[in-house]
Amino acid sequence: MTTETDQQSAIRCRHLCKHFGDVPAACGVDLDIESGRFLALLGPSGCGKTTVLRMIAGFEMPDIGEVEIGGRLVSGPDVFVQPEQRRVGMVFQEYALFPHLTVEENAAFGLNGRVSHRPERIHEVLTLVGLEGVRDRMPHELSGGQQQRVALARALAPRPELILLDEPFSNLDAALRDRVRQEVRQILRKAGVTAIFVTHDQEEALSLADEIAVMIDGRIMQTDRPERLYRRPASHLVATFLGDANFLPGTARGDTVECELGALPALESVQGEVEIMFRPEDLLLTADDNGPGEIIERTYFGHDQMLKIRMNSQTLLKSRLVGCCRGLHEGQRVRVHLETPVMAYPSRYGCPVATV
Amino acid sequence: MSAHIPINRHSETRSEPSLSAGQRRVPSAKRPSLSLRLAAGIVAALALLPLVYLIVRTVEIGPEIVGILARPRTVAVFFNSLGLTVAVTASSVLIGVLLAWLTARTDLPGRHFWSTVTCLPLVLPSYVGAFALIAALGPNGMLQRLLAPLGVEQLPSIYGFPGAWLALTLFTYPYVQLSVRAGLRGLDPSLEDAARSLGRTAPQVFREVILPHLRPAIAAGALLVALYTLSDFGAVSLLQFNAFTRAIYVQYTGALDRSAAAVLALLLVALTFLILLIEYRLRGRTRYYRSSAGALRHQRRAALGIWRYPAVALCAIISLLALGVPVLVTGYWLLQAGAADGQWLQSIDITLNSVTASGLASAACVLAALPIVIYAVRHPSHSSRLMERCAYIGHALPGIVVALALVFFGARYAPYFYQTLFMLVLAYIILFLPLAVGSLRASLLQISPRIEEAARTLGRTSKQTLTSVTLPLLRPGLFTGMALVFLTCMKELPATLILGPTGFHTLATRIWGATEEAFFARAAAPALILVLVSAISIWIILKHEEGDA
Repeated sequence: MTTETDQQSAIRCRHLCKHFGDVPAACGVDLDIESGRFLALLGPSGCGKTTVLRMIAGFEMPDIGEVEIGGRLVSGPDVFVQPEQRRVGMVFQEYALFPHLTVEENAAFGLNGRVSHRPERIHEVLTLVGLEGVRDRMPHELSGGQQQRVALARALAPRPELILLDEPFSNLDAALRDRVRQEVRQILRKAGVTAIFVTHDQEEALSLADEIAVMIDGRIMQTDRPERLYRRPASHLVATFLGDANFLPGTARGDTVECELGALPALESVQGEVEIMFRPEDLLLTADDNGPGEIIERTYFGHDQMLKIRMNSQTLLKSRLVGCCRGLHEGQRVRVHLETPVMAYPSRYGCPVATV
Repeated sequence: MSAHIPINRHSETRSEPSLSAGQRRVPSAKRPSLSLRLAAGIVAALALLPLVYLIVRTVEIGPEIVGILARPRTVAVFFNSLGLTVAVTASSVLIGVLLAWLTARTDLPGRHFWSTVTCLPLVLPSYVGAFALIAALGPNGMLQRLLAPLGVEQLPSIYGFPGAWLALTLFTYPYVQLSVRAGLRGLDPSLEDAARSLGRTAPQVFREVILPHLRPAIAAGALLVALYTLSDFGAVSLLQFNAFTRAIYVQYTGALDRSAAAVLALLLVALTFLILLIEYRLRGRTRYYRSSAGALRHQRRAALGIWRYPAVALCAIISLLALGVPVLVTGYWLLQAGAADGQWLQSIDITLNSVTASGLASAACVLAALPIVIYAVRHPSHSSRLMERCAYIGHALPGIVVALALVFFGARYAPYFYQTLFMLVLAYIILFLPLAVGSLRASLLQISPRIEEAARTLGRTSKQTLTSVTLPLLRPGLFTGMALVFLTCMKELPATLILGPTGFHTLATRIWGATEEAFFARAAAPALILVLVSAISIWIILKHEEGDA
């Protein structure tokens, strides 16, 4: 990789749109990733995230919009660079290893195909992914996790500008997935490569990525660091997609919002009718026989538990508590309070009824 | 919304649809290359050539067509073919279903043995079967010589309808048997259990549950038999039954009335298409009947009781007629001929001829199938589907029709190629392209397009991807396709007879010619070689399929 690319965006997409027949797969997608960063494109299945990946790789031609890789325009009006000339490595969902080639031949494929051509580079990438010991095996002789790493080594070998990973962990069973995720993250870190991976699993996105772009119905709803995205989702939709959330109607006055839980500090300054959002783990409970709420359901998960509370106003709230909480059983009346600031979204049509 | 939440402005505020695309002339990664489309188009046109030219040729005849159609001989030929097809199909279905059920779902003694042996006649080309029947049961045949000391002067004639019916039934019922056996295997045993638990007896279950489920399998097998019978030349011509194929050949060679031959050929094609249309309609409905696959539970076997004796006798008689007689006859005449008159040397010569023509054809066929398959599988569109259908047309054209059309075409437009090996190979390609397309298609569908895309991201152009990834992975399909075409070409008779260069004898034409002139000894060695080659080819294919799985 050249040194200039470290200064600028590794990849920039501007207003990418793609329709399949009448079905829009992507509408006005903008992405901008700094060199060396790891971005998760997160969205429910069918939201168009794989289409975006394939437009970047050059397998789909955008209807409109531009793609720039390492400062070079590869897709735009009257420009379309073929996939083989984009210097983009791709790790496919089903790995797509060449079944007729050995591990080292797979790794060498992007380097003119001959192992003897660049032996030191092949040794380097196979060592990086920890597969030096199985370089003579055929793909079908490897475990799922190993195949995954061969695919990664193969993509990394020609030192691409960018690595794309399409649902890279979905073909692994749950026990293996966690370990492989961390391995892949470390391999990509060591390689110092810019990467985009597509996933529908929000936990995966939150735990792996430097940055997450949330995509719903062909649109990017928000791009942010994982912590910010979780704490400060830009909309109701993004908030619910990234985990459990409580919503309440309220009135904002600058830095505070009034709602049935009292005056709460707001994360961002707003005015007027709002819908406030906070995470279940922010809602604290105290057993109190005269409290305004009642525990109506308790679901135990082991390391934590989820409690459903019905307030006197009939509002339903969720609270996630860690550890054992003696005395908090179904039917117990409780007091609730928040200690963290909340998000507040302007409600244009009045506040929707709180949903749990 | 507060300013510092980095929301994507475009996606929030704009909602313009972007259908203005596609007007720019930028090469897409997905568009098939011109050379691919051109190659596929040429092959499709080639496949269409015989049919189109036959139609042109018939139209040229003008009003005389009506006269040819109204000839009593034409009408007789039409009903001969129709009658033979109906009779052979009916008897094949009867035998095929019975044998499939006996070997798959009863406690028939030695059912594994019978299930293999009763399918083997499929290996025999119809003219080898006809040769065996004539040599065994014909005038002065083996049976008559055996019976002569008992005072039997004459046997009922084997020639004509009875002989053709018997020969074709004996060599086509395995189509029904195999198809029904697959249907029986696919039948979910829990359906039978359910019917039994609802108070049906075993025979009622067979009628009300099993038979309706087998209907598509029976129909599929029956239609194969009907197509085979309609297009068969070998048995019909040797047993002197005046069906379409024989009439066309006689018109072409004997009477030299090429117009009549063309009209008859087109009529035969029409009948074939009618059968295919029926098949197409029926196949559309089969989906409703198919039960889910993968039912590996144990299927109950019916106890035959006292009926097992006639059941075994039936299997034995059919195997004896369809397999025993050809083996005995071939062996007998091999011994009769002995090593005396250089039969074996001649046989080596004609075997080389057969292998040359078939080898060339199999390689050419697979090469021709490649662009069609890649275009149709990787770039599905109206035009690619149309081209693939064109490639399948050989499936619907009897060999004699293709041969005749190419003779007409060659005589008029390509005199240089007329009566050369090139013309024969071309006929083989047109006839057997469906086999190559079928096996390549199945193979290509197994290769994920993602693998090809992976090669593209690693810097290979689409052509380099084809040679370094797709073709190596297609190898099993290429191999199976070549083997299938090779085997089928070795057995092909009518096109070889008509299009082969003068003096170019193959195993098939030698057997046919010798039988026609009742030189049975001359037919024996080629028949043995042909059966061995067929058996080896089938063994290779089976072996290969096992290797894939």
